[in-house]
Amino acid sequence: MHLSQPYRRILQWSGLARRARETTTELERASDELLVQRVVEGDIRAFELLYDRYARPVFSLAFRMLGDPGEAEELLQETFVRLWQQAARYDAHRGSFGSWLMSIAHNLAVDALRQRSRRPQRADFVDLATFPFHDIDERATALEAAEVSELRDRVRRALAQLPEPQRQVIELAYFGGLTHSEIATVLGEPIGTIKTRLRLAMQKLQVLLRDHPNGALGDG
Amino acid sequence: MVEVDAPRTGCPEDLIGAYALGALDPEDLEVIERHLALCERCRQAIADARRTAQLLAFSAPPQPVPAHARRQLLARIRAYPITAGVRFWLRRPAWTLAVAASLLTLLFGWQVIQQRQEAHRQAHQAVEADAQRRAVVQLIAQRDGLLIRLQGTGTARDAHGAIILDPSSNTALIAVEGLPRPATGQAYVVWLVRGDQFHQAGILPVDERGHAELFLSPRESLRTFDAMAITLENGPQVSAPNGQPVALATLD
Ligand SMILES: [Zn+2]
Repeated sequence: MHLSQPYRRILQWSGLARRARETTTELERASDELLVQRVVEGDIRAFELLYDRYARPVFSLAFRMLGDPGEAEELLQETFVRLWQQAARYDAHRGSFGSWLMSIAHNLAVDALRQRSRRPQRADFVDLATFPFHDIDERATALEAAEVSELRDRVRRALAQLPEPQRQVIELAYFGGLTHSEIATVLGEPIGTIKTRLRLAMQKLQVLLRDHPNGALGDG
Repeated sequence: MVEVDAPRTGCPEDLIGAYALGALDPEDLEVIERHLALCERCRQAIADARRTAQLLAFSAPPQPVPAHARRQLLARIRAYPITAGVRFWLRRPAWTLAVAASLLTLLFGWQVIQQRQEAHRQAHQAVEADAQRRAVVQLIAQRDGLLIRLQGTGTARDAHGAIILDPSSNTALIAVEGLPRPATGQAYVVWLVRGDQFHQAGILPVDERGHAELFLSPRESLRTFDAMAITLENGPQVSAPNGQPVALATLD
């Protein structure tokens, strides 16, 4: 039977044609970009595979920023709901999928922090043994995207090479969602000093991370 | 060498890294955004800085993810239509009385208006409408039917409605409102989809208020179909969908 273009499109949307000939294993090997495309078409299987790959970094970022497991979990869900609703907005020419998704999570966390009157609790001080859940998602650990752990190591190494005061201002700005003047208040230092320190810190970090280009990042 | 870009001295270089991190206070933010509108060089510098800032997201200490987050998320996703491209109408596994009640209002509401306006409507049509209403009431009474919500796409973006499936009587009722009236010669065609085969199930008639309903009682079991699709076709006599897709609902 000859299939016209819209007819094929309907089959694609319904996932019916694919369901018949594509095994889950094939989909598991697919790139993030292909999986996002499938999510645009409404494929829940592709969505779950992206969740497997990125739930852990998203949750870890949210927990680092919000310092509360319950809030971090809400943010994790909200980030992926946005992925489901807005997958078509992802543009592979502008960067990796991972960076795009993490930016969504980061923006949501900054909004949450700014809505709070209180300042973020340092996640480092939360005792993981007191987590209110015992049902750990093993898939999210086992299937985490390989780039994520590479990046985690690389960025942590770069941060470790910064002088402690520089690393501190970067972390307060990025994870704490604080501005120049707020950082100055927290640290009790003049705002001019903070501006200079943050500029130098970012310049150094850019150099450190640029030396090891990673294709998955969409650099350049 | 001649500087073709904005002069370096005018560039707020000390703000670029902080801008990428989102750490600027409102006054500085205003300064840099005004500048960025004019300076390609700084826009480039910000893009570079932002790529670095984005990498910081990956440096958070890894934590185990609670398993129930996945279950809750998937439940939420199934309740949302997707917004991009086509909207799917995701099946609700169980009846909710609220939805059923509003559907009834929707159906009876416009049925009454139609009847008042078309007093000349023939008797057998009225009987048919009664049969449909009885079917809806029966479905709601049984509470084991299946309700699939519909949301339009493309030019039919504002359309919404529902498909009610009653497996026991092998009947389905499609009710949509907010549907644009098709141009002369065009028609909304309903398809039952099985594998890669499309079976025409009927024409969805639209009244002047954008209301449409179709009662289906197919010869073959509805359980054997995978999906129901609505397309806007150039004429009712088509054997395969070629026109613009309006809605799709999976029946599995
Ligand atoms: Zn400039």
